[in-house]
Amino acid sequence: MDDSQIVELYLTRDESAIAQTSEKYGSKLRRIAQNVLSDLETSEECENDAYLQTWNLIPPNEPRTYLFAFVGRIVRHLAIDRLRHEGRQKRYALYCELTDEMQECIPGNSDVSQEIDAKELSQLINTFLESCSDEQRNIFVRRYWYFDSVAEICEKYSLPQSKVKTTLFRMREKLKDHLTDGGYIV
Amino acid sequence: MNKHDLLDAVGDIDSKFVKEADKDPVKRSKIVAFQKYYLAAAGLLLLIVAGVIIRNGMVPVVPESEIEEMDSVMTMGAVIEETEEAAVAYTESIEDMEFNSALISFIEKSGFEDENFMISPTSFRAALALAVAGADNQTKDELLKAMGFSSMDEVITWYEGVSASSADLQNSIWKNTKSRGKLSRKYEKYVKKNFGATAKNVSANQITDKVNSWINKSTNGLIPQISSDLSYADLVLVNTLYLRTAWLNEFEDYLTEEGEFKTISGDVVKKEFMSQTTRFRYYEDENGKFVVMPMDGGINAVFILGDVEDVAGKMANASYEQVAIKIPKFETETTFSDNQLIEFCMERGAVQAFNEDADFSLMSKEMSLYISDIIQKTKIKVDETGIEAAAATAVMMTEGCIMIEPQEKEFIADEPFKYMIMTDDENPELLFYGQLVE
Repeated sequence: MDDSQIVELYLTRDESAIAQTSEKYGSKLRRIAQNVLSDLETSEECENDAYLQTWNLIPPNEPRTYLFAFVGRIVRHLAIDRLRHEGRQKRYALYCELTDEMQECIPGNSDVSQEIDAKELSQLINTFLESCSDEQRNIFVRRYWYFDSVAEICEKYSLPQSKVKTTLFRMREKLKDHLTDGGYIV
Repeated sequence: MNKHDLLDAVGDIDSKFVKEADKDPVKRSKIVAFQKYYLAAAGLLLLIVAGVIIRNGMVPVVPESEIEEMDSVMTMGAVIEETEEAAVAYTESIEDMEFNSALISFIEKSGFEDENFMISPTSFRAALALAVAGADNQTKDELLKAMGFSSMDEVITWYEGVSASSADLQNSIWKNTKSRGKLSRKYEKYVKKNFGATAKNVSANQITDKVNSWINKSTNGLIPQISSDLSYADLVLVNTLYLRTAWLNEFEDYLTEEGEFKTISGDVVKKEFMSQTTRFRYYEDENGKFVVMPMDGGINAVFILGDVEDVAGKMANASYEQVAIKIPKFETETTFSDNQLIEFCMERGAVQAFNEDADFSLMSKEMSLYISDIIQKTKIKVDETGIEAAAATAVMMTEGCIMIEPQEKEFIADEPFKYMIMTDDENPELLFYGQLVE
């Protein structure tokens, strides 16, 4: 069943929408959660919560052409939320790794907080990603959106670790410059 | 904004990027089809690269600020795109680099860590190739594995590649007439055909002079003597590797001036520093930086400051920059004659070749040979005109039983630095690797 048909089921409040979503994207969604949570049970809980939220969000949203990204974003947020609130040591280490990498992209003195518009920030990241090559963009998205490990990225794209690490490192530097240019100097 | 906001914001990126990253990458069938070729090329390249590892001990003292990226020509994207196809080749190359890195690390552990040294993995492997060509059964399997090969065909493919580079490789076999047994005709033909090695009979009083003089000639006088006494050996297998190449962008003599070099122990010594500011491929990350200087004959000299890992792999990420380079002129000579090379083979599982159980029956049915010693000598000279480097490796074989007693034993470089000399290929071969630390 294609995405648009599944979205149609949500819009008509047909509960099979959830089963269809799960059948089509369940394993991928679970993997996103599991990449940060490293625990199947909690990841499944996140996945189920994500279906519930999707049910509540469609309508008014109609992600006919991007259902996976839509539900994936929800599952991603839910997984991060879990981590932040749970703070279990082992899991937290993974989260720290990701946020430490993000820290490198923040211009200026990060101790000083700055109120920013989240939407505008995402927009800036979008323009940054537009400016990158396909390969760079995919590596970045796999790492920071899908939370893939460097090893997983290497396997997916048949690249040596050193290349993936260097690409990520250079992209973080580039993103930092991009954010600085976009006015995010703290 | 903090790091958490940023991670959250990544979650809200355009769904098209998410979709795109979800796709399975298009398999690069062209590369897969050429994988065998890449492997062979990597093997060849590696030999050359492995050929000489130079370890000097000097560090020039020059302000970091003098190394500047004045202009960036290539965008990161362009570099990545350009190198995408090379990725598979690099992977292969990295696998082959395993032998080189294992050897370098073994030599460092054998007491050379804080010394200037240069080793030639290529010459070492080529000399061993002459031995493995005459080995059979377990002795052969163990040696091949220790050399990083899975079959004799692979060795030959590797050798063909190395000898096609601008480095000059030569091989010879010297049989001491004190031993009555003869070499097998088949073996003589095989090494002649595949490695251009001629076997000669020489008397015990002559063998030392003959071998030394052949090495002296093959290395253009850089290595006049490998040993003062080879008469104890029944058979000597020799490889030499010689490279003389000029900088594509020469250093001007008048720019060479004395500067301070901080050694690994912290002392400051005076050295002659050559300088030039030109566009070169340049790379830096949090661990260090390197510059790639092209040389004649498709060779690259790579000078590394700091601890950049996997330089060969990162060559792909180097971009053209205007770089102010200062490098000391230097000359260094190394001898490995305390069984380090045999111990290295043993550590990698080749044991039988070095004791009386060795099976070199393909080499000679009449003699029960085993390897009793491996010696390597290397020398490099770096000056305004270019680089001259040579290595000679001798594998000494003896009949009967001899106990081996292991012995214990701006680019402006203002701190210990490393350098590599590589072929200029998609899949570069590391010809020389060196370090200046004192």
